[in-house]
Amino acid sequence: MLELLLFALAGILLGAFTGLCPGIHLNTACFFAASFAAFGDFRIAVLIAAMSVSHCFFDFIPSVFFGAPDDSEAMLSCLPGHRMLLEGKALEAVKLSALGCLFGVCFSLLLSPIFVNFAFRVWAFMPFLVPIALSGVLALMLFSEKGLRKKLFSIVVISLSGILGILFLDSSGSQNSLLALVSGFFAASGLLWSLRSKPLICAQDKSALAFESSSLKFGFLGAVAGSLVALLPSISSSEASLSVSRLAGEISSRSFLVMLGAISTANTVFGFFMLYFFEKTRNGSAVTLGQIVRLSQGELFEIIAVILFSAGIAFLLSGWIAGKFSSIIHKIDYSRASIAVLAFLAALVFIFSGFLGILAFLTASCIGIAAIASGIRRSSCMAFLMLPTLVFYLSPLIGF
Amino acid sequence: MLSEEKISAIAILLSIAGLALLAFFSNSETPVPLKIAGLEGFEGKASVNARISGSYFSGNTLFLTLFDGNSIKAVYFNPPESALEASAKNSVVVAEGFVEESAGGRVFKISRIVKHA
Repeated sequence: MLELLLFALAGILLGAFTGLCPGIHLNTACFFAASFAAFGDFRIAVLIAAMSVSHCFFDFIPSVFFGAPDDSEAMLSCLPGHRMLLEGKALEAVKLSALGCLFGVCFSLLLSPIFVNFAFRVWAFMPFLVPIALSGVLALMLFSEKGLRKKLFSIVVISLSGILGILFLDSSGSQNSLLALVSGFFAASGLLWSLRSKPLICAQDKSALAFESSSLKFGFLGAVAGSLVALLPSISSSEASLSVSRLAGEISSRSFLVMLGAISTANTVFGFFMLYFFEKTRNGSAVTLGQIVRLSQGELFEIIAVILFSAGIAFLLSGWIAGKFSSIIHKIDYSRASIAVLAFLAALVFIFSGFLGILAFLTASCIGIAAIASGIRRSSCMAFLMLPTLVFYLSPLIGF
Repeated sequence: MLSEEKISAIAILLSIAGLALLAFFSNSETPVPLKIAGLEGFEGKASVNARISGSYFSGNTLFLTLFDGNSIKAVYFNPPESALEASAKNSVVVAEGFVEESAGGRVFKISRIVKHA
């Protein structure tokens, strides 16, 4: 028992590390941890579960303070989070995301019986549902842009991103190829754009979190969206949050951050349920966990306990670390820090994906800048994943 | 300072140039001929000369087991008709692609497969 607790604590700290370091993807750390495990080593499974949950909480800190996300959950938090940083509300932005993460854990556990039942019913129809859902989200992205000019730019950005995804994901064997694209589209483009007009970071407000009643509603919606993300291959958290925010109508930055947090942890939690009930999951950490242990019912309950424990600790710890960050952020040279983050990301991309990775990273950065400069949503760049998946599912139907 | 419209146009032109370069370099990469045992830890594009000891086509994905004394699982997404014809069980083929770590261990992601001459 004490041993498992220690492994859970180690997992929480590792999750903090992967979340705080831009460019260090959770999956990389999970595969690394799994390489030390013998089959059946439940302690490493506990470590991975704790790390996955903890990562979700800390992942929002670099995306809010530096606009440097390293995966699809955090990338969309850049804009509202970064906006709040410029208003001196970065700490609140991180705490709202962490609150969302906490809601995500609670609601996903409460919703799990419904989710599992639903998943059993729709499992056979997935090959038909995925292309329909993807086409719907792409259409939503395009038609939510206002005015013909923005719609045209959106088509250009979606097409370029899709072609880049097809070209690079097809021609790269590295599991880190996503790092090059995500970092280019969502981190490098934003960082480069911020260098254009030296952002003035004011002293950060440290007052208590203002809790909005709508947070609970969006935490719940986030958990529902997170369940769909876990179920539908190729639909990522960002598409889910975009769809919910379009369908739910007006949504404040604060509610959006809560929802993103909830999607992120709900996706992680449902990933473990998918692993237990279907032995199939798209969630990288659950995949790794599945390579180490075949979960029994008792072990599933232990993993749930670890998830709850990790969520509680990570919630408190992420708030504390964000508080430390917000005390010093206005004192540092933001442009230099941005350049340092950019250089770090470029180095990681080169190490993991080589020359082609750097080329893809630069191309993705240009597409991201085109999106920002033309005033359309950068989430259109998510077509880099959606179009290749759509082609995969539709090609047998159209005989391509 | 450049206007946002000009930046947008320059960024799109650079993206197109980047895509063209990426297409050129990824197609010009010559696969390294390797034995299956040599694939461990190999990062680039490889080609493997092996016998197909297992073949299964589901949906639009071809699942193979390649054997040359050692074996590795391989997948080919959206294979063309010619690849399906070449991939009958016990055929000897040359498969080009990349090694990926994924669920269930190491997998060879095939980008091209032809019957061994």
